Amino acid sequence: MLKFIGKRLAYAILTLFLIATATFFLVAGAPGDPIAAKVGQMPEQAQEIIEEKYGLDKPVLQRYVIYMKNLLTTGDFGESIIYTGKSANDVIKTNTWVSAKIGLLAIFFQVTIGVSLGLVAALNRGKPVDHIIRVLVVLAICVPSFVFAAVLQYFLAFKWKLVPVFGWGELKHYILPVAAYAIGGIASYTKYMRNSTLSVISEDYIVTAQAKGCTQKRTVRKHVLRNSMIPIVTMIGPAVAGIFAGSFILEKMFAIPGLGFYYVKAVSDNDYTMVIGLTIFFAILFVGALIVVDILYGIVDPRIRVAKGKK
Amino acid sequence: MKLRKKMLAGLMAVALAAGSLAGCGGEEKEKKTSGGSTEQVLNISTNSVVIGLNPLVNTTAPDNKAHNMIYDPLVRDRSAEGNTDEIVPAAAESWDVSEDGLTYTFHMNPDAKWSDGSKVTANDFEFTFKKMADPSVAATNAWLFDGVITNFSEALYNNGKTPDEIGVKALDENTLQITLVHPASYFLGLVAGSVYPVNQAKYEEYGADYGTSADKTVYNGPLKIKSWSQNTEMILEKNEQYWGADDMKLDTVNFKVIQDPSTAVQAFINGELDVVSTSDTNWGKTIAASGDSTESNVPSNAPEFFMFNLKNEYLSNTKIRQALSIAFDRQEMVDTLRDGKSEPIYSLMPDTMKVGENTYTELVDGKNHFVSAMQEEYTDPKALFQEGLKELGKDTDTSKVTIRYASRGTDELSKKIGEWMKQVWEEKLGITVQIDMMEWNIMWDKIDAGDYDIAQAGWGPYYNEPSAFFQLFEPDNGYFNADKTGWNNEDSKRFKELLEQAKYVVDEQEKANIYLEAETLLVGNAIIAPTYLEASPTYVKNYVKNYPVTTNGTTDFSQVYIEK
Repeated sequence: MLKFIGKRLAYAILTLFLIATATFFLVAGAPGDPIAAKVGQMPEQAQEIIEEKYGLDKPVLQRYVIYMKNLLTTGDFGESIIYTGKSANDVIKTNTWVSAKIGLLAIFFQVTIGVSLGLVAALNRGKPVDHIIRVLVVLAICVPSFVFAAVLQYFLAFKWKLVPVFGWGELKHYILPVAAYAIGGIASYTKYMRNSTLSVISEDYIVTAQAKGCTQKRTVRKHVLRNSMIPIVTMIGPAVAGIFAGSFILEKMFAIPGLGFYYVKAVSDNDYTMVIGLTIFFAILFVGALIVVDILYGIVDPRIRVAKGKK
Repeated sequence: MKLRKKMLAGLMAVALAAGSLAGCGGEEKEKKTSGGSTEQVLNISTNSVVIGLNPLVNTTAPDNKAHNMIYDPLVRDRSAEGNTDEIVPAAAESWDVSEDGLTYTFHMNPDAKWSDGSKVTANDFEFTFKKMADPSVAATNAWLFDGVITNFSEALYNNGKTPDEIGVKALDENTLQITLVHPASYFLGLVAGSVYPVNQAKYEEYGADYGTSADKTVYNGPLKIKSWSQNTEMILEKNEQYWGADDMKLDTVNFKVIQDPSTAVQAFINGELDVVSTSDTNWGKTIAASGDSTESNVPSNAPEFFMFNLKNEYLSNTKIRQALSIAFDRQEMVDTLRDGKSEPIYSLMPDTMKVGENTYTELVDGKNHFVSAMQEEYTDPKALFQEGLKELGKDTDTSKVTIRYASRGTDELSKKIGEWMKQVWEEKLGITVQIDMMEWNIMWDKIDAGDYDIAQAGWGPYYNEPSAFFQLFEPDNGYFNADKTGWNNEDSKRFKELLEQAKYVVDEQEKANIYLEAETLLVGNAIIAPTYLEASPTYVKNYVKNYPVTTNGTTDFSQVYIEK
C-alpha cells in the first residue's frame, strides 16, 4: 500500500511540474498582454516603462527560469501583474474556503438526497414514484446549474423576496447558490444510485439474504446500500476536486467572493502569475483527490484491495 | 410498508429544512422594514473589483471610482444637472493662470487635512507629480503629462532630466506652481481626473505597500474606507477630517462588487442597490414600472468608429473610404442594434467636447459634422465608390471587390454590428465583406501589426478636448500611428503640423478652427468613420439626492444625500 501511494505521489509531482510548464508557455504564447489589460491603451513608450517594471521585456525562456526558480525555492506563485501587491498565494488563502464551503455543502446535499432518491426509485421500480423520480432526474440533468440559479434568483429572491438577490457572509446567502449547485448533482447521484441498486438487488447474495428470512429493512441496510454505494464513492472524489470549477458562474451571479472570479479574470487579463498559481493549486487538489479516492475505494470494497495485494 | 414510512419521514425532514430556509429569508425582510429610517447610507456597485488604492499605479475604472470618493484632487470636475460638469475647488481653494497660459498657480485650501490629521500641503502634490514622472514607479497616468508639463517627458523617458526637474514646484506649503510646455485649456480637467494625491510622509514609510490595504492608505477625500473585502464590498464612511465634512450629509457608502448585470438590476429593484446601469430594455421597463427611480440616459464620451487601413489596395483611395463611411444610416444602425439607446455621431468629437469654455461644435458652428455633410453631397455612395475604383485604374465592377472586417471581440453586440455592416455595405455598394470574428485582445494585436482592412474600434478620451482624440492618429507617435493605419501621405504630414500648431494657440476660436481643419483630414477624408456614442441608461432611486449622471465629470460624494 505504501509503495503504491509513494509511486502515485511521484507521478503527481511530475504531473504538477508539467502542468506548471505547459501553463506558463500557453499563457505567454496567448495573444494579448497583461499590461494592456491593466492600464488600457497607451503610447508604446509609456507601455515599455511598465513592461520593464514587471520584467515582461525579458525573453520568455528567461522569464520561465526566473519563475520556476522562485516557485521551487520559495513556493511563491509570484505577485499578480494586475492586482498590485497581491500574490496568487494571498488569493488562494483568502478565497478558497469561500468556494469550498459552497461546493462541499452542495456535494453533501447531492450525495445524501441523491442516494436516498436513487434507493427509493430502485426499490419501487416500475411504480409511479419511480417514474416521477426518473422524469425529474432527466430534467435536472439536462438543465445547466446557471439556469436553475437564474430561475431560483428570479423567483425566490426577486419576486418573493425570501432571500437576498446576492451577497455573502450570512447563512441566507448560501441558500440559492448551494441549491442551484446541488440540483444537477442530486439528479446524477440519483440516477447512478438507482442503476447500481438495481444491479445489486438481482445479485445472488440478496436472494440468499431474503431466503434466510432477513427482513427487508435489514437487507437494504446491510447488503443493498453498502454494495450499491461503491460507484458513488468513485464519483465523489473528482466532484470534490471540481467544486471550484463548478461554481464559477454561480459565484458571478450571486457576487460570491470565491476563487472563480480571480481565475476567470486572470485568464482574460493574461495575468501569468495568477493563472499559473491557481492552475497549479487546482491541479494539486485534483491529483490529491484522485489519490484519496483510490485509497478509499480499497476501503469500501475489500475485493479491490485483495486483488491489488495479490499483484 | 415500514420502508415507505421511513421515506415519508425523510421527505418531511427535507420539507422542514426547506421551510426553515425560507424562514431565514422572512426574517431578513422584517429586519429591513423595521430598520427603514432615513440613515445616510448609499448602496452602489461596480462590475469589477477595485484593484488597489495607490492612485499612482491603480487606475482601472473601479479604482478611479473609489479614488474619487477617498481622495481630493487639486480641483474637482463635478457632475451637474442637465449633463454638464463644472470645475470646482477641492484641495486647492483657488488658482491663477498666467496670461500666456503656461503657468498655473494653485492656492491650497488651509482646512484640507489627511485622515491622520496632518495638513494636505502643496508638497504632497509636488511629491505626487514627481513620483509620476519617475520611470521606476511606472505610474499609469504619467504619459498624459508627457509633452504638457515642462521636462516631464524627458524625466519619464530618461532623456536627460530627473523627476526633480519637472515643472512642478511647491513655492511654500500653501502654493503649488506648475509650468507647462504649451498652453492647454484642458489642463484643469486633466489634473482633476488623473492626479489623486498621495501622502508624502506615509508613502515614504509604507513604500510598495501604500494603498494595498485600507490601513496602509491615507485619505483626504470626503470618505474613508472602514472595511474592504476585495471581491465583495468596500464599506466607506464619512471622513471627519475632510475640509467639507461639516456640510456633508452622507455617513456610509457601501460599494459592492456585482459582476452579473441582471443580478445588479434585481438587487436595485429590490432596494439592495440605489444606482444601477443597464442597457437591457426589458429590465428598463420593469424598473420604470416600479416608478421609484429616475432614468438618466446620457451618451458616453467614447465614440465608436471604423478604422480603414490605408495599406489596403482599395482603402488607399479617399473616395472609396468616404463611400464606406456614408453608405450606412447611423440612426438606423443605433435603432436596430442598440434599441435606439445610443447617439449617432457625424464627427469624431462628441458634442460635449470643449475647447476652453465653449464646446467645439458650437465654436465651429456644426461644420464638424462631416459625415452628414457628405451624405447630403453624395446621394449615391456606390457611384462614389466606383469613381474611386476608376481613380485607382481598376475595373468599376464593385462585385469584384472583397474587403475584410475585423470585429472587436466576439460578444453579441460585436457580432450584430459586424453582420449588420456586412449586409448594408454589400447591399449599398455591391462589394463583398468578409467578417473576421476575433477576440478583443487579438483584434488589438492585429491592428498593432497593421493586419486588417476595416476594424471596429472605440476610444475613451482622457480629457475633454479634441486633442485627446487627434493625438491618437498622430502619424509618428500616436497610438494609431502610420504603422497601424497606413496613413502616411501629405495629409498626415499636414495633420501633424496642425496639431503642433494648435498646441500653442490660446484663443478658443482660432484653436477650434485649426481642429476643424485637422478633422477634415481625419473624418472628412474618412481615415476613420465615426458611428455612435454608446448610452446605457442609469437609474437612480428618487430618495438619492444630488446624484447627477453626466457624460464628463464625476459624482461629488460630499454633495450626495438620502431623503426618504
